[in-house]
Order: sequence, then C-alpha cells, then structure tokens
Amino acid sequence: MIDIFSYEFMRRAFIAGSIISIIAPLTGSFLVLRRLSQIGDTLSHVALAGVAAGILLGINPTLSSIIVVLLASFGIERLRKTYFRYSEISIAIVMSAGMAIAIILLSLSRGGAANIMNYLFGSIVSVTNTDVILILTLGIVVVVSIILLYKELLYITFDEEAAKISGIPVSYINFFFTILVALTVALAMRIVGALLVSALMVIPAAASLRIAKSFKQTIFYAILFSFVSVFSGIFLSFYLNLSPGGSIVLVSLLIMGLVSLKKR
Amino acid sequence: MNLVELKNISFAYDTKKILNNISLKINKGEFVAIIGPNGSGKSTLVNIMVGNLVPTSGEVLYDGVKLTNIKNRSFISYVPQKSYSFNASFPASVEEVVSMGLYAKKGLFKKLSRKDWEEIYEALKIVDMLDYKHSLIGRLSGGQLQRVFIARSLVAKPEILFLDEPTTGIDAKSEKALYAILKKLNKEKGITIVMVTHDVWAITDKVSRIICMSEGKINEKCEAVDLTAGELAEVYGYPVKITKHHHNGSVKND
Repeated sequence: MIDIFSYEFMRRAFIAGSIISIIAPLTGSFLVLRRLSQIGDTLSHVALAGVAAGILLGINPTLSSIIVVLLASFGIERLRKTYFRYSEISIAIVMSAGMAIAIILLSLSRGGAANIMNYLFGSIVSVTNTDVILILTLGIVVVVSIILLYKELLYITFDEEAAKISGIPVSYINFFFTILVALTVALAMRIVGALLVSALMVIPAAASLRIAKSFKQTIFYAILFSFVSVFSGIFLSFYLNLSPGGSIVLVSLLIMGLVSLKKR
Repeated sequence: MNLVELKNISFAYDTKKILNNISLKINKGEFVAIIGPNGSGKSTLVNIMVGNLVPTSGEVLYDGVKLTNIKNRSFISYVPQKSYSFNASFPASVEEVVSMGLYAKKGLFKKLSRKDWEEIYEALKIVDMLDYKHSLIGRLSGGQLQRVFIARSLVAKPEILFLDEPTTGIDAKSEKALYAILKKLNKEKGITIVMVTHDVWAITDKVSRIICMSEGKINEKCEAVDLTAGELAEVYGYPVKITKHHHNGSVKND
C-alpha cells in the first residue's frame, strides 16, 4: 500500500478534512433540529458565485466565497423579515440569485469552468496552503464560538419563545449563528463540494438522532460519524480515484443505514 | 405588599379588543387562579404580566417598578401551555431541559458550575422527577413533562410563577400530584403562583383567590373561592352544570 501521508496534498486534504468533519455536523445539528436544513444548501449555491468571482478576479476562491456567502446570509435574514409570512421565499430567492450570478461570472471567465468543477464536486488534490490556513483558522473560530454560545444555542433550538422570555438575546445570537453557518459552508465546500455540503451538515446529525440520549450526545455522535465519513471518504477517493464529496456522503449514508438498524 | 400591579391594561390585535381596561393587584405569597371561557383573554393577560406581550395601553408594575424598566426578569417565571412550542422528538435529556432555566441568569459565555447542577437536581427533586434526570424528554408522559417544565422554572429561584393551563392533557393522578407540588411551592417556598385554568373545582381548596374573566374584563363578583353554578354561568355566558368527578369537577356547556 502506498503511504498516503507521504504526499503533501494528502496531508493538506486530511488537515482540512478533519476541521470540516467537525464544523459541518456541529452547525448542522442545530440547523436540523431547527428545521433549517435547507439553509446549508442555499448558501452552498451562493458560495459558487463567490468561487466564480474569485476565479474571474484572480483571488483565492475560498476567500471570495466566504465573503459572498456572508453577504448572502445577511440577505436571507433581510428577506426573511420582508416576507415574514413566507420565510422559505428568501431561501429560494437567494439560491437562484447565487446560481444565476455564478453562471454569468463563469461565462465571462474563459477556462474557469474546469476550475469550478473542483468546487462543485469537491477535490482533494487542489487544496492549497492558503486554503488549509483559511480552513484551520476560521474552523477554530466556528468551534470556539459554538462552545462559548452552546447553552444559549441549545435553549433557542429547543424553545425559541421560552429562551426569549427568559432574557437570552435571541436575535443577536441567531444572526451570529447564521454567520457561523455561512463560514462552515464556504470552508466545507472546498473538499465536499458545493452540491454535497449540506449532506455533511445534515446526514451525520440525522443518524445521531437515532441513538442519542441527550443533546450533548447528539452533537458528539454527529461529529464522530462525520469524522469517520470524511476520513474513509478521502481514503476511498485516493485509492479508487473517486470524487471525495461523493465518497464522503455515501459513507455517511451507509453509517446512517447501519445506525437505523439499531433499536434505541 | 403588592408584588404585581396592573393599571388600566388594554390589549388589541389589529382592531379586535382582547383586554379592556383591566386593573389588578396580586400580593406576595398569593396563589391565584384565573378562570373564564375560551377567548376571554386569560392567556393574553398572563402573557402581558410576564412581559411576553406589550399592552396597547396601561402599565405592569412589579414592586412598584414598571416591567419595561426591569432588565433582570429572572424573578418572573412562566410555564406556557406545553403543546404550543414543544417538539417532543427533540433529543434533550430531562436534566438538560431543566438546566435551561439557569442559562439567562448565568449570562453569556459562562458554563454551569457544580453548584448550578446541584440546584438543577434540587429542582428535579421538588417535582419528584430526579430518577428521570437522564431520560429523553420525548419518553415522558404529559404529567411528567409538565413537572419537568415546572422544575425548569424553579431553578432560577423565581418569586412568582405563572402557569397557563398546566393540567391540559394529563390524567387525574398526575393532576393531583401537580397541584400538591404547586401548593408546596406556595406554602413552603413562599412562591407567588398565578395559574390560568379550566378546572374550577379542582382548585377551590388550593388557591387563595379566583379571578374570573369574561370578554376581556374581570368579573368582580366572583373573587371568592366558593363559586356557585349561577355565578359561573354569569362568567361563562351560558348555563353551567357542576359535574363532580371522583377527583374534581369541570365546567361544561349544558
């Protein structure tokens, strides 16, 4: 067996992958329990517009997608207030806006189409040092923020109304959490791919719900499942020459299937 | 001494008047029941008292201070009707749910201490649910769940506890246990209790005062605990028959 870690790009992929495998289910568990699973999907489509802009302007696409996704997350919050009776509208509008802009920008940049495939389906060979530094620093920001706001996020997720009455600053925390989700999507897209980012946020949490006996356990198992999925997915992708995003998500689905067999 | 005072409270949704010029005083240590037909404004009144709704006009005062000027409201606790905002499949354990009662008091970025956890277990002990601390809340019965929510309200050591129809959907035995707990909290811990309820005859020997509401107003005639069917008929707006069950009575449209 070839020593997979002797390759520089594989070491980068594993470092980036391990951070992503923690932050995706961490933010994802809260989203799933708040019935907001679709937000990850919306933001990942918008992230593509950021990638296209980065390719066109010649800056690091991960960085440009982070900026665009943050702007989009503010847009969603804004639209959600405007159309407060039909809050899903905001998700649909932002998703189509993201795709439309991505396609236009791509058609403007010749040769960008090949590059964007790495972001659509995920890639391990094209992860750069800058990507690793971005993923590592911002990933730590996401993890630390969630640890610090854990109890408030738990209360809001469980019962937003009661949290508000008890005096927790719900709207500030919701706003900050949207930023954390946006960061997670932009970072995770690098390896898992835009089309499958939300799968890594949702599936491990869904599997975890089947066996967890507390909220803490839900988060713990979701991260464990995601970690196993990302690592085995990267291995499979390396040895069998498959897309990393597809391999990771299929492994996570397999785990979910196995967990479902177990009776609670 | 008055703990809560309502001065000329009115409330309207769009043009629909829900509450009409209500004034009311509740003293420290009282156990008050608010009764009245559906749509009489009971729950709206409680929501205004806890600061969840802002009245169209009028003031809510606690110890003479306007509620709008009170930042730290952890002395007020509210157990809403559970069916509204509760997701039974949520993966939280009983102890996690009860711990939420301390979060706001604790403040941002701070972890719960060992002493906090002792208080959480103490609250669970009061409502007789300590044995279930590691259970998933989705596994509990309606009565057990209600007790967990009361424990969540108790950990922050409130001076006043509001409950909105706490006995809805729970069986007679659990209901009895729940009232015993409330009475204990009122008598032994000195917590003022305000409860919205339909179970008029189950509460008459437990509460210190009954407030009757109809059509957004307080009916002054029935501030006693020994109501007759005639007085209730006036409140409910239709003839009322007192049906004594083995455990309590209830109001029925006859």
